[in-house]
Amino acid sequence: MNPRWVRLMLRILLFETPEDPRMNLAFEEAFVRVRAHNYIDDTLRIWRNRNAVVIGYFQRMSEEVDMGSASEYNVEVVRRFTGGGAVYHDLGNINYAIVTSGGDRDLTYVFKYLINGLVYALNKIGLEAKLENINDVVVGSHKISGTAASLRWGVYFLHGSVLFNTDLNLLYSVLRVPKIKLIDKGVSDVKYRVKNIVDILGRDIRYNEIIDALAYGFSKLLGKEYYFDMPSKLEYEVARALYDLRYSREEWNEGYLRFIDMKYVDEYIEEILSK
Amino acid sequence: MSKTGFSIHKARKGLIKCRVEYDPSRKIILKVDITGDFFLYPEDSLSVLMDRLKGVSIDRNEIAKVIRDVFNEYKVSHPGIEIDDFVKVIYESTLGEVDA
Repeated sequence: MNPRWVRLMLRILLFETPEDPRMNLAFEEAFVRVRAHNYIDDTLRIWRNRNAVVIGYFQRMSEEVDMGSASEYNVEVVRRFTGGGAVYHDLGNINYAIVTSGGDRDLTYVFKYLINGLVYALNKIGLEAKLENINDVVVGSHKISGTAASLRWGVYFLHGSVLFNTDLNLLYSVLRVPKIKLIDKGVSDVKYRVKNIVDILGRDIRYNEIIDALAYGFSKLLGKEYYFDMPSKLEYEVARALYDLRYSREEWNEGYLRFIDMKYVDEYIEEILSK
Repeated sequence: MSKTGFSIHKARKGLIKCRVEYDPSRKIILKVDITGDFFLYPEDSLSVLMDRLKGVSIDRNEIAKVIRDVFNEYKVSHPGIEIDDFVKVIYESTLGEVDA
């Protein structure tokens, strides 16, 4: 490998398109792929959606989302490239995504290792957070964050959503949570399991404080100083192409198209990245 | 004539939903569709698995062998979900019938 850059620092991006969840997810794939080609440093991205459901790669929109409720509240649904479950995003939910150089470790390792950046961040704002059942971040008995990871494109990648002050009633209304999931968690309803951080802390928390905490947490984990940056031209270009070819397509978001059905997308993106 | 069955199984990490189209007289699987909130890497090993299950006998051992082979071949990483979880949900889908 010939790195195009000396990777001594952690790059932080605050790029987000809250009104356009599909572009948010297109950019999520884009910056990971640009990192995989060594054009950028290890990068932490922090971003939000205004009103969206994001479903996992192996899920179907119709199985996870109450479409009547989604339509009533103008919730846009988008599918991501990583596994795991459906999450509801509004501006009270903060997403983070971290990409680092890869190696020969497996998915369990990526979860176990990278998730500590979030744990450090939550400690910093005064929460005793801990890791449970591979990738659930909990405070006391409450789940406050869901996480997904992948090794696609040869990098270590983890992203997650953190409930700071999300409209939980809307969350329950648009997400279809199967009863079977709740039984062994000892709860009768999802609302007793998830909780907003502001309610645990008993105080409001500003977006800037969360950004600082995440920057601190991942910087500590990776042992690197951080700097804030803007997206590169290449990241925009790849994101735009992924938006057009993948994330704006209904068959993708409904859960029917797989990567192997869209090889032309990968070929096109790799062509851009190899220029 | 083919039948379609459905089953849901909760693994330690993730819920597997499975729909199987099968031939009850010849006791073979015709088509498998698996969805859920689990994790697998490489992700597309699941598509390979669903393809390879076509034509396989409705037998726990036969189903397990196909899964094991795909997981070995693709060096699949599957945190919190075991081969037996997939065997269970696929096999149990062939025990009932739902409206397709």
